[in-house]
Amino acid sequence: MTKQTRLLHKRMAFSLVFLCVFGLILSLTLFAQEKKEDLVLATTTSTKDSGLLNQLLPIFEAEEGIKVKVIAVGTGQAIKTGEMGDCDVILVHARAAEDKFVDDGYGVHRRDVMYNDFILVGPKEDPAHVQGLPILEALQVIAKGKGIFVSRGDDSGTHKKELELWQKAGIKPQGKWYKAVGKGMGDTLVMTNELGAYTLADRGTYAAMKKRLALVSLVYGETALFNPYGVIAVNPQRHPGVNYQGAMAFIEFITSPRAKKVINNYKVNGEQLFIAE
Amino acid sequence: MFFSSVKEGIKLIFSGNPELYMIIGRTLFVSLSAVCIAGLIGIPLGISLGLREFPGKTWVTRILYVFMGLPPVFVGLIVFILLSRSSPIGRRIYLLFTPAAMIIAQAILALPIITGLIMTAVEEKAEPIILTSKGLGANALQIKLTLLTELKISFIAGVVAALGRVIAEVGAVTLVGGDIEGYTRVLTTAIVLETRKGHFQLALALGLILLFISFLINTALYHWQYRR
Amino acid sequence: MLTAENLTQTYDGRTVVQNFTFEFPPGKIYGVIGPNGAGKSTLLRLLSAMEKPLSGRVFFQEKPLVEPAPEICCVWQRPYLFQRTVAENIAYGLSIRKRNRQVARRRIEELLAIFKLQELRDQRASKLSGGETARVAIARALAVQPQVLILDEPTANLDPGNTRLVEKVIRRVHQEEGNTVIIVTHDMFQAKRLADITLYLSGGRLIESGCSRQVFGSPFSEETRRFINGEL
Ligand SMILES: Nc1ncnc2c1ncn2[C@@H]1O[C@H](COP(=O)(O)OP(=O)(O)OP(=O)(O)O)[C@@H](O)[C@H]1O
Ligand SMILES: [Mg+2]
Repeated sequence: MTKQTRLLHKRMAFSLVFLCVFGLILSLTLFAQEKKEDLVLATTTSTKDSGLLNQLLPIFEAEEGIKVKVIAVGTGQAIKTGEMGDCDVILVHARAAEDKFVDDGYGVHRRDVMYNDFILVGPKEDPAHVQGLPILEALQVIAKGKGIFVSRGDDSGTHKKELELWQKAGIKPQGKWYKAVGKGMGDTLVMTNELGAYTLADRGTYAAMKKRLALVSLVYGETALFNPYGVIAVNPQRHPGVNYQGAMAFIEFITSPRAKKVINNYKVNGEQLFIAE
Repeated sequence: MFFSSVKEGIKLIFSGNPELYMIIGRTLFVSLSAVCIAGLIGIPLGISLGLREFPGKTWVTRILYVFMGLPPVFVGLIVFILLSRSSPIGRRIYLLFTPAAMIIAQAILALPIITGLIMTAVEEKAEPIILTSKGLGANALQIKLTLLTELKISFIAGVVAALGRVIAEVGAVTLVGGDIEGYTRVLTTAIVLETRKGHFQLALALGLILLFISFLINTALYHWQYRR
Repeated sequence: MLTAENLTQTYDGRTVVQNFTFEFPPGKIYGVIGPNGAGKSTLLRLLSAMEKPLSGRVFFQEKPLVEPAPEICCVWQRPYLFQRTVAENIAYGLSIRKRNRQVARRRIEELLAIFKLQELRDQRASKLSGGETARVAIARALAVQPQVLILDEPTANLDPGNTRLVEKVIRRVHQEEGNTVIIVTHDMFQAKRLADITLYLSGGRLIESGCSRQVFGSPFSEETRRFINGEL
């Protein structure tokens, strides 16, 4: 081993140790940066991806001086994250699960925030002639085999809503006319388009993809098709570490008239996605 | 679509978009730290496992090989539960949804890869090296140093393989990092996000940037190992 | 003085060296001969304390030898060269002994010249031919001038000219430094030429040992005679 290789060894060991120490320090500083005032909001991907939060949060952050960290996950995971105390506030759309979350003592102060609506879309020609019918009747007509219905079949909020509507219409959705595809909204719309079929879609995704589809919205605007969003603070009694004050400030803000105005004015491709009353 | 993405990727790199540079920096920082930590544990561990014979070694080896293929989401989930506020650790030091949590998860993913590959390399190649340096009068420390230099390429290969795996991994970092904009978003989670939004071209461009970074790291290490 | 006392080694229950007892008084060249698988290489590993015997002991300078000693250097049957240049390989023993750099460099140049390796000084070891590899390995062991030099078939890969060269070097170094050389070889003429004392090993047992002239001239054992004559 020459002096050079020895030097090289030293340098190798040194740089390795240096990198590690540097890594630990930096991660600790980053960790320390997470001030008490930061607010962790768990919400659904659809909410996040719609872009609405990008309009709302900067206003809140500026007003309150609280930084909001958004965790966008599935509805179930968002609620679970709240149950485990790993977020401060949740914003989801799953009424039954939300109520259970509050009843089980995981959350407090549930408030309605807004709703978006589902629409029944289908081909322009509308072979089953469901345009303008009440949603339950429209579904009954389709079920008689006058058209094909594509279901997301992925246990998502939209899928759950669809199943709820079938139940209300008194129909067991099965048969040749019913295709459960197990896909996300976008893919389901594309398939529906290809098949010249009907499907239940959320207005946001449909609005975003409208230009590429030959589908039109046929049934909409009924209370049965509304999809309410609720905001819930995580119970500080259960998880003392959560930022309860921040959560309450957020709930206060998002239900305030100024936030409502932002929500109602938010449009994608000229289409209003959310309605706050 | 593909070629326009390449163009988009190149444009993106030179666009001066600060968030993109932050994401790239964060990706490198998280994965390099994770591999460093895993290397500090895995290299000595791999060497001693490779040199030693003990009862139950075949089982240790087998488990190690299985762990080399740990699904990232699974590791992410375990780390999530361990770091959660509802766990004993989370109540003392709260790291969830921070880069530190991402480093921990990726280090766990990298550790068996580094340990396993180094163990195999040592088992295959160490014997003549040790015999030779002992036969020339080297002491225990000198033998170890010789082993390190002689197997440098294998060790680097192990570390590079681990880095390649963790830097391209998305399941664990999304879960424990939360993909928080400006804080825990890395290249892979950004790709998932853009894909979900339907911005396929942007997602593809980000993927190409990730590939390019991996390529650069590999080239750098390759050059370093042949530097004289 | 190197002494072996009742050395026995087994691998997976198979006895490879059995009750080997022998004294190696210093300043002599010892040749070890015997059929393939006789346990010659194993014996060398035991004598240099590279591995622990199942039973028995080795003494070096009146003390039990349990760890490899820096005074004993070995060239193995399948020499391994470090992934460095030829010169750096030869320098290995000198640099771990922290020898003066000037002295070391002179020594390396000397050995490169002796073994006709000057042109390959900066060649990477992995690029060498079998015979070149063997010569570098021998030069590397000679570099530190060990008291005991252990060689396992050092010329097996060498052409006749280089075989003679290596023998000449071994003998010259031996005369200059008065070291002890233990050499395993399958070349009977080499053993006869080089060794003061020859040991015949078979089936892990020391069958015969003595002055080379006597072992090759009129061996005691019929087996030794037949082995030497290639009738075994
Ligand atoms: N590490 C080991 N594990 C198991 N068996 C071994 C080991 N090393 C040597 N042996 C066996 O021990 C016996 C003696 O081997 P050794 O290498 O000492 O023979 P040798 O006399 O040097 O033969 P050759 O002339 O072919 O080099 C052989 O049968 C070999 O297979
Ligand atoms: Mg042998």
